[in-house]
Amino acid sequence: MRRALVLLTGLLLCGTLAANPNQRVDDARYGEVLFHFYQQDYFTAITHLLAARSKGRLGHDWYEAELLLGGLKLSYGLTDAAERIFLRLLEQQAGPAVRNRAWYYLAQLAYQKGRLEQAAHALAQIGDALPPELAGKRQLLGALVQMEQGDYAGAAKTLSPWRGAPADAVYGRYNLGIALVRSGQLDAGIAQLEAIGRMRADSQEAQALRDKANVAIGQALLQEQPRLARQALERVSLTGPLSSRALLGAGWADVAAGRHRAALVPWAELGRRAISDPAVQEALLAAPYALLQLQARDQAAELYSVATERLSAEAARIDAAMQDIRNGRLLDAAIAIDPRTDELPPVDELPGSTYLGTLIASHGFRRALQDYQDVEALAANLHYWRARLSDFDTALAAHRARFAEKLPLLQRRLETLAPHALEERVQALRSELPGSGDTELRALEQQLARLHERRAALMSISERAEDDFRAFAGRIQLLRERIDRLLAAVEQARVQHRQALEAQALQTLGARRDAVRSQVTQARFVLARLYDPAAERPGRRP
Amino acid sequence: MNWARMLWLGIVLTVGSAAAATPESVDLPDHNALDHALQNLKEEVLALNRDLLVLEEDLLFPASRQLAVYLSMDRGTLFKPDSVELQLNDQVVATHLYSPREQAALARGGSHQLWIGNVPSGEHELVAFLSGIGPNGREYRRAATVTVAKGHEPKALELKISDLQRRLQPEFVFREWQ
Repeated sequence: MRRALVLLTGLLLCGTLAANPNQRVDDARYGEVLFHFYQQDYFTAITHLLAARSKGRLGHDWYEAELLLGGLKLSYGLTDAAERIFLRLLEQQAGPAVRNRAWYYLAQLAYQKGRLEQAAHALAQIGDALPPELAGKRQLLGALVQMEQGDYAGAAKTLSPWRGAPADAVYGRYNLGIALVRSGQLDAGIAQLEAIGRMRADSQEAQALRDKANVAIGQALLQEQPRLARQALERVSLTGPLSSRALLGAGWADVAAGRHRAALVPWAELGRRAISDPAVQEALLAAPYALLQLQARDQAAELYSVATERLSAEAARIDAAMQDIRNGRLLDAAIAIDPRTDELPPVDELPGSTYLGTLIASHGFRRALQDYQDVEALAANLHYWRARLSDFDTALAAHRARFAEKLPLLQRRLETLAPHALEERVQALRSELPGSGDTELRALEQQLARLHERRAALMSISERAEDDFRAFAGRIQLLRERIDRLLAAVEQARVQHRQALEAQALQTLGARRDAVRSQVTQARFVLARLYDPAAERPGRRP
Repeated sequence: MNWARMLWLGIVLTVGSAAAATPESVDLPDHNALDHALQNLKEEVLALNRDLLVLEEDLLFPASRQLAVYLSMDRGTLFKPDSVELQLNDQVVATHLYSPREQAALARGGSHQLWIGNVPSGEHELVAFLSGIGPNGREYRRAATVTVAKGHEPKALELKISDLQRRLQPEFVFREWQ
């Protein structure tokens, strides 16, 4: 069930709710944060937001900015910090729009951590007057939580009617179909899925959803209505990522309808595809099974024999790929994958690269890969700043040099501003005109005061400049020490996360290899029985 | 039949995950411990970056001389920027080519810091040359100019690309942002 809902989860986790999409930004720094956020460069977005705040330059609404920070931290994997931010927002006097989004994020966090009751509670706190984007996401997440709890009928109720954005309605409908089927309302569920399975697909995303719906129909109707199941599976794109699974299912639908010979057609097509695909591996065993049902024992034995050879070779190739992982080569290739696009790197010369897709499709490996890439990015960031600090040293030295150049001029000006002569004159006038409010004396006194002010200002520039230079040098030194300490910590984390990544890769491929070996054992077992003369006796079926 | 169907369902539901197969006997590290340590490390590096950015601005772009220019868009249905060149007092100070990802970020409300630098107090002329895709999918080039009076406070300018729907033309206007 989790697998069937992957697309729905993806829609939920895109995190756009952190920023109000309809609000035009009237704050340069906030807009810059959004610029990085919308490119999924969460690290840069967070640092810019923190720096702008630190300088007191973020004019945007505090609650909105805090919510954005929480969303950014959540997207960057800082779940603990994000949770603290959302809880803090709810304790404060934020408006309903911010509170609703904070509750939604808390629900999403709880769901991610498997705390379903907590997720349901957080969702229940969200108010009713919602913008369509949030309304739809609440419906989808609510349904997902209910389905995880086994409440499929409740999930169907949550998803109907659709209250989200019209553009997302198709995802609501897909999940409604799944929930209805799982709750036993087969006809109603199939009707929803059929609507998607027959829709016009103008984009890759729409095509993927259409294929997914058709596979779900095939899966649901395989036993009870195999002909309808086959029709749905025939609608799956032959070049899409689900095509192998659809071909495999189409063959089983034929078998269920008693059309064993017809089943051989899609399975023969699968037999021409890359054997690393699990659907192809299963078809290698399914085809001779169908031949056995047609009493074609010799042909079946031949295909079982071929299957044994091909699957054994495949298990050996997976073993070799695992060796590539242990010697680091395949892992280096996997690390180059851009998590934002899922595009696999061109590593055809590496035999094990066939299994990169298998690895990336594994949730555990994907999570470990993301963590490792994050650690690598931290290391790159620290090395960049380590080098950049030298530029700061240079800039500071230049500031000092410029100031040293100007210092003699400053001192000369200070000398010209020496107030002794004026002071003497004022003193003389005061003696001549004691207690008098003479105009000339007042003017001279004011002039003297201004002179003192200017002199003090110039002297303070000189003194303050040296203090500033020392302060800058101190900040640079402290930051250099922090960078060095963090570089050591990051290096240690890099080793640990690479080990974790390797372990995940080995586990994922090991599981595939064991599954293939199990298929080899199955094929050998059937072959042995086929060659066993006793199996020819009436009443015995292989 | 049932076993056959289950076999296929097993593939459909678990392909790509190792859930249905026997796991390889490898020692997986404690994910929670690794995750918490990584979160702490990320927080420390983020705080460090914040302090470094602040230092960089204080040291290299002191408030009394600081001038920053941002580019932003209002919807962006009539113009999609491919590149921009910024001149300050007839000197090129910044050029940028926009990737599709950056164009999308601008269209959603992000602002790109095109340039930050130091200028003395007084009047300065800024000219931005933009090229990209304009109305009807045609190549489009325009320039926008502004004379800015710099005082002792930091100054930020926004070069905003707006849609003039009534004329079906994009508009490029500089404005002060604080």
